[in-house]
Amino acid sequence: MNFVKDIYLIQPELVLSIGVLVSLLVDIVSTKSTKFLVPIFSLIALSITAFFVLTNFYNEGEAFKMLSITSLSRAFDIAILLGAAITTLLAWDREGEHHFLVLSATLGAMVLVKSISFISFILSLELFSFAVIGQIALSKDLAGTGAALKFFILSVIASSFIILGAALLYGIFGTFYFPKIFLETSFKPIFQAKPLFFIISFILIFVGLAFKISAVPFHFWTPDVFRGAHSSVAGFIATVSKASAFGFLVNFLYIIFGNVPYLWGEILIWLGAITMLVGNLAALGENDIKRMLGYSTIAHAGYILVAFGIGTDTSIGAAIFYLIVYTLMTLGAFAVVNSIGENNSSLENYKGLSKNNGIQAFLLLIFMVSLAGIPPTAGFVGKFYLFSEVIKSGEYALAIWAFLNGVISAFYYIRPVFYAYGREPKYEVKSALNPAIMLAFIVGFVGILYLGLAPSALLDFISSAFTH
Amino acid sequence: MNTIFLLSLSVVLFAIGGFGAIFRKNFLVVLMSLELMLNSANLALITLSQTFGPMGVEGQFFVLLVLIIAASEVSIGLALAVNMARLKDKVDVEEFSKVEE
Repeated sequence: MNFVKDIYLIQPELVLSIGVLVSLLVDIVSTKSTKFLVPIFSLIALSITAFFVLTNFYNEGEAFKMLSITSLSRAFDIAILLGAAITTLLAWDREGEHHFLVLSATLGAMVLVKSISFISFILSLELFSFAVIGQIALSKDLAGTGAALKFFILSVIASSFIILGAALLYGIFGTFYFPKIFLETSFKPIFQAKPLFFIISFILIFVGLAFKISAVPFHFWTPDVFRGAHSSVAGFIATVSKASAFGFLVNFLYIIFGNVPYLWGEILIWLGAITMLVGNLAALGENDIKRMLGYSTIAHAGYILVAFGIGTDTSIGAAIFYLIVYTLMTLGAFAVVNSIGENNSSLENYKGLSKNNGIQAFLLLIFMVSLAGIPPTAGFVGKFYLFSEVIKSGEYALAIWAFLNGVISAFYYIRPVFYAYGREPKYEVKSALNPAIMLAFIVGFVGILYLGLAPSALLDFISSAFTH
Repeated sequence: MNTIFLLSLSVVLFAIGGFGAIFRKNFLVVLMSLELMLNSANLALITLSQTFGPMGVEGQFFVLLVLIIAASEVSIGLALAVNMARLKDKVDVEEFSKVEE
């Protein structure tokens, strides 16, 4: 009956799923000399999907009682597709399977953002995490296998927590469909019915999601996995995984727990505040740039969590803007790591980088300045909007806390730049600069400077998702 | 009555699985523990779907999905185990968890 309408709503996802299947075919057909066709096809599939996302940006509705398509979720899609496209550029030389896995993980992430039923949620979550495990495990050396092992065990533990939590919620309400749960909670206060079940299931599901976001008690896996994985995969986990988990958090918190806002608002703010401190302090002592970026993603997750905890429309908008900026600058930093070499990630190798590898040293400067949040870059604008939302909500102590954290983070972001410009080279570093990485550099560089100098276009676009 | 008993059983199984997954060293035992965690969630789902009578089909359908997920999880885990055995001749989690050099 409404089948055609539902299909019409999920056009971008359908296009991407066709792309996933065809990319396998392209991989089989391509020979050694035409291997470059696979990433090119993958980029084409991602850009067609992005085109469909942009043309359907204001089409809202519910599909199959599983997915809720809103402009907000489409805004998250843009961050996801941007991250996937740049990681494809970074992984240009990898096996063809890698690009297939990137596309399937992107599909999983896009469906995850729109899930309003535990059925679609669990399935898309597993599609995403299994594809990411495959990506990590494609580097078959000791470090890569160790990282894949760690990520595998912890992601399965996280998803079994989520499944148990979903089972308990099902026990209370008899449904997996979020809007129906919302309806039930608005009629009778759940704290009379089965309060213990409700709180336990909230904790269980939240633990599983906190693992995805790498929020504090469940962050310990991040630096190890980042160190062992290929830099493109580390970048993928840092950006796409976070964007999808935050996108789902909006549905989860606003629909199921929409009638009990105080249960989660304060929890998220505290969790974010602790997360940013732990990430920043741990990064200070790190001598490996990949591990350092791992801790830095933990800190950035803290900033975004705080914005979610405040929970107004404008603060969520600021969080999405920050997420897009964060995607650009983190992947830019990983592109520098990639071009210096996967096995040269110790900071010793970055000493005197400006002598032999001037381009990389300059871009490292730009991306690190942006990550630290220093003015002419987009990182500053993103932090500025985020912190001004915190101040608007009246949480002055939290704003000061977040600002102090930004100051701490500047120390470890500036250190590689200082090494690159201020020290004599210790080792001969042979860097690789193929056209794909150059393109990633250009996208990151232009994006960061453009959003840093003229952020209003993207900000207006994001706020139109709330007000159209 | 029975519901409470079965639910507590599934929670106990979940805890055993969790401890096994975190503390055991042999990767195959870790895989078994992960299976135990997923299947204890299945037990909870089945138990709770019984309380809704004929309306509980959705819960039983969900169990099938979780079984599919568990199967694909094991296949990925075994692929990883093959890779581990190639590199080190044993499937010991400890050997691979020290990434530092």
